[in-house]
Amino acid sequence: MKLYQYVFRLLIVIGSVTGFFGGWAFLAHAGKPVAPQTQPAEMAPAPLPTLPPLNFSTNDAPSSLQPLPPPPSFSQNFVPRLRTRGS
Amino acid sequence: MEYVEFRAMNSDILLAAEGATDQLAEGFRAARAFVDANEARLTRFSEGSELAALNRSGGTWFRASEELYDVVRQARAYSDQTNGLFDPSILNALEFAGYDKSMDEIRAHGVSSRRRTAPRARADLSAMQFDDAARAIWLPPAMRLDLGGIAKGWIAERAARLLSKYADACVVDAGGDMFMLGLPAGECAWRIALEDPRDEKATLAVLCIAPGAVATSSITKRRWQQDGYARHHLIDPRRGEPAETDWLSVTVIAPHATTAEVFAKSLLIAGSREAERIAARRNDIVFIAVDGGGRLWGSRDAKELMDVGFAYV
Repeated sequence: MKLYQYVFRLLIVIGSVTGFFGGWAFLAHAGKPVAPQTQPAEMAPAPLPTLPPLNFSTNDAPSSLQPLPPPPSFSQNFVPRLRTRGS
Repeated sequence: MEYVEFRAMNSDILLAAEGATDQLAEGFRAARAFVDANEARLTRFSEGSELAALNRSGGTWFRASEELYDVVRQARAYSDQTNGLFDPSILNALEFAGYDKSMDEIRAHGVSSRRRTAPRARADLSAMQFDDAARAIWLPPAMRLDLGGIAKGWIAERAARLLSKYADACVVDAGGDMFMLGLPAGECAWRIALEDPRDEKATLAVLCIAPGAVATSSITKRRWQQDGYARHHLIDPRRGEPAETDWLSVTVIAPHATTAEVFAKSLLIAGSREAERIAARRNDIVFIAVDGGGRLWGSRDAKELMDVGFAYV
């Protein structure tokens, strides 16, 4: 039984070593790959998706700038003495 | 509340105060004398003013009064705070645009024809120098200053502080630049009407304001025609021309009248696109803008100042 195991292990080692060096020798003698002269069309990178540019020229107000609620209409006679105005 | 009205700084001035009548009379006299004296000192429309002398001193050191030195020092600092949108050295451009005499004279006689040559490029405001110990100012050659708005705010606040020595509560209103001290009896705030820049007889809102300053800058008041073009007094320092803005007026509430005046002007020049960035430089101001349609726009805390419970009659 031990002899059978010994032979079996030896065969595995011999097979592995032979396969390794055989493959090395095969690849060493194989022809070198030729670099393609031009990129195949299908290799061109697809354009990246882009977001539309932000438009600041509209009437959209900045975030902290708030529209204030319109107060009730004032009478034309309502002209308080304390009033702020451009001069 | 007792009132005194008079004309100074090409504006309607209103002094209002509560207190003992005889004391108030003395306070009104003192405040008015202060306004008149400092208008004479800080106006650009008189060749005899201290400001005119400073403007002739370019290239040499000028020893200034305490008042002029303080205003010019503040003006220089505000220029930095507003990214240059407030710039007192735009006088040459202002005159080139036609504002070369007082608005009262322009209204009476019209503007001069436009000069043929544009003003030279302005010297950089950062080239201005100060000597605190000697209270002296050095202007680059050919630099001339206009202190109109900031001087009006400065005078309003100083006059109010003077008047408050004789009053329990008082306000000085210098053509819309107001400074308030104390509170009217029984009130928890000053109620200030916000004028519609499209119609000076109309009110857009009533604001509840704590003691401090409020100022409004507008492009609808100081306007004139020059060679067929509509012009106004608010020069955009970046272009050297009257500002093109989508707002008609901006009102600023601030602790000091110079701050309110300077930021009202700068935010109006900035318009809706840039105002937020400029206002972010100060966390102690609130502003309300009026656009061409009479709509109100405000910074974050502005809504809280609107007196919605006021009896509108």
